[in-house]
Amino acid sequence: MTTAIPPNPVDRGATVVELDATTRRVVLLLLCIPTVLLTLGIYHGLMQTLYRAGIIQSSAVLGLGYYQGLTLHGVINALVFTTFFEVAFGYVILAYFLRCQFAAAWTWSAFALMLGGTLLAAAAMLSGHASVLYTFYPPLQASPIFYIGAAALVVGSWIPFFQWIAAYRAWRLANPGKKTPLAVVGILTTFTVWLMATLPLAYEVVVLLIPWSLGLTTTVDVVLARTLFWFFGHPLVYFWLLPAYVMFYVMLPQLAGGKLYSDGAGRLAFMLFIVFSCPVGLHHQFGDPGISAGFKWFHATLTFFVALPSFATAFTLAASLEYAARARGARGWFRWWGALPWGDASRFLFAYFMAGLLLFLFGGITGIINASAPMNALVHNTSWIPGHFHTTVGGPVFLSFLGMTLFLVAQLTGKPVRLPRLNLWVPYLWLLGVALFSTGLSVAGLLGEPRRTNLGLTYANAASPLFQPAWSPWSQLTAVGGVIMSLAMLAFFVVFFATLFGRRRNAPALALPVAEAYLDEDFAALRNFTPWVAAALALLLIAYAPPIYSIVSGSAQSMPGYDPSSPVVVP
Amino acid sequence: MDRSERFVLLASGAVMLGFFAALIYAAIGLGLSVPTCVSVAPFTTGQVIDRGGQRYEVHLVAKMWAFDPPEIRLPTGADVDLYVSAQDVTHGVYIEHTNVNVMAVPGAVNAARVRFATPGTYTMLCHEYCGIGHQNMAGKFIIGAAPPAAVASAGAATAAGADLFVQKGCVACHSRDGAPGVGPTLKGVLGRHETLADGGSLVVDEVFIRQQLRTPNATLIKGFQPVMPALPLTDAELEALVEYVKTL
Repeated sequence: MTTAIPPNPVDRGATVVELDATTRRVVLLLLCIPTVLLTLGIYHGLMQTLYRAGIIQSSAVLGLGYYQGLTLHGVINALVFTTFFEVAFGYVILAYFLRCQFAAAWTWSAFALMLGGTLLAAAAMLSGHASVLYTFYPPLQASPIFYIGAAALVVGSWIPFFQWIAAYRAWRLANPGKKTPLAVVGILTTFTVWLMATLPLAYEVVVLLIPWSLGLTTTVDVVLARTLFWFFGHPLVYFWLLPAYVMFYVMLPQLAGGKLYSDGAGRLAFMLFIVFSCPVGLHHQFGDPGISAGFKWFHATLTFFVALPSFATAFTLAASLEYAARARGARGWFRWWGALPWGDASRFLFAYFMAGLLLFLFGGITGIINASAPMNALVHNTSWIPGHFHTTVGGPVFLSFLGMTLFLVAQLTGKPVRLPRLNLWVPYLWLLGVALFSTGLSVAGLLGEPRRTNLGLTYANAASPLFQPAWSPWSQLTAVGGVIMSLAMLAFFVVFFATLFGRRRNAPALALPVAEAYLDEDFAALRNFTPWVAAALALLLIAYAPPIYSIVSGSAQSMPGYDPSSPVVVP
Repeated sequence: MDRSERFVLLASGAVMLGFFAALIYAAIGLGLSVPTCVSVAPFTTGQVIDRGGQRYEVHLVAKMWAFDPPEIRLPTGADVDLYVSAQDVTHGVYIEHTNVNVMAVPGAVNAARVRFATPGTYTMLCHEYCGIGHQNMAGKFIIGAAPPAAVASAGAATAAGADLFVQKGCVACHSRDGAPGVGPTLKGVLGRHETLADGGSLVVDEVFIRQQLRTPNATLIKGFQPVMPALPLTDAELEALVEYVKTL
């Protein structure tokens, strides 16, 4: 079990690039800090499944309340871990493919803002002054420290994007006529979506919530705040997903032993995400009052368009995998799946990617169900919703980020991955765990089980008049899934820290698996971001200006703040 | 672009078009749509209005952590226009075995229409996080059952206290049947021996109940968090609540 393997034998002969000292240090910090915090996020995930199955029938365990833990789980796993990872991954991709260096002062200031913001938010959450969940719906009010921390994290993550834009423009000038590497296109797409999505969030937090929580303003427009949050909240999903797509397009075919079926399909998918990621947020507000049904339907329609690049991706990836399997001599209509390197510990990224993609088959289909306005009444705010997103952000996104974190830490420290066999268990255990967990949540959701609710005190408590015995078996299945997911994560943490604290064997250097393209066409329309970003902005204006205007001009009443523990207005 | 790629793009576009056509049919053909703007101003009093001919208008107030009215009795076949207003924070309204699943957002009134064709009890629950008592926020529609006979023995103050117990949200944290909750259960609370967080102990009497209502966290029962709010109560409301709690 302890035999060490070189970090990346897949790519002997692959290009080796050394990162400059600052970038390497910051990337390692951005990868390791959230992985440490993740222990807390995962613990609270496990605890929730136990509360919800009625195994814990209490409002708090070890001094940490259910809703406090739920806030920690959402903020750490979905915001901190993902944002830190993506900034680190972006630096790696730009430096690797464009051979660029970054001004140390900007890199360190981005890191300082992100870390400082995270520590502030963590302090507010752990001290129990921010149990408002990661959606922080006002008029529930948290400590200003929480909002300030969240804002600093987001603003900090913008800085690298501007560094990358400068590096990309310099590269374009120096390499006229060359196609931008697909991975770079993917990362710039990711952060274009991020910038478009986080501007309204920054407005909500900085202009509406921070002054309100400081007592400088007395009330906040709740409908407007919700709309601004979901303006951000859905593209956030693509911010998570797009770096995973970069890995799937650029690395997965190589790991499988083949080629990317079509380079142009990848570029088209990314550009379509720029256009359609943002103007879809109202599909999270189908059940809201104060927003006209016409606007909701328009967003529902646009959400269907954003499914197209994912359909195309599913095809391209399957074609690439089949190409790889046949190149390895596999035959038959379906038997070729068996020829892929499922159990190759030296290509552990393949297992992490594929386990995530298998979950994503369900995540994609349940996502289309969620976007279907008339079906909303069946699933909205029930446990079906977390059942869905643990097969998207908890599936391909989480597993690919986790695998890539380990891969990059091993390469950038020069320390080979320890316990490689145990490491291979992580994605498959996680796949099994999420499959059970999400099945339990989805079925219980269709029976009416709400999400974000401490069921152990009432609905999953035989002593309560609200007891719902029909939900119990499914909540218990969810808990079984949660325990298996936690075991997978335990294995991951053991591998990760054994690697991190292991002995250095080689000089730190990057060698990424990069697939060649099988169809490598060059489409002029896909060479520039500008027309796609312009189309995105125009569509955003059409999709959001009318509803926001109608909310701002028509909203009846703004609200003072409420502490989550009291039905009396915060004085 | 090669042939198979073109085919896949067209096929996936066709699939999405098919789904979309099904949605249009559901919205227009089956009348399943999403809430829209209504011209009703936010309200703070819950009520059921009989519009005649099996039509009812229900004004439902969602608040931390109860629905007002908490229990709605209607005949079988009632056609209900439901209007929902949130008094404090954002809540949700989900009525089991119906298509009612809407948000209650402060500042705007939501509306839904539902027919209760089958007699029975329909649990209505809040499905949006609204604070530490969220898991207790539920109500019910009781369809086709006769109203219970009035409890004659209960004194006027006790009856008023029972209403206040729901209206003020006490019910969210304190059960009346021994079930655990955010706060201690009030079943048999009068005369109970309690261990305090500071290690002391006492026997609960009327004076202690009154004191806990006025200055909630001055004396803390062991095993509970100091999270009870001091409710703005008139003297009459306070006495009614004390009388009611004593009977539990």
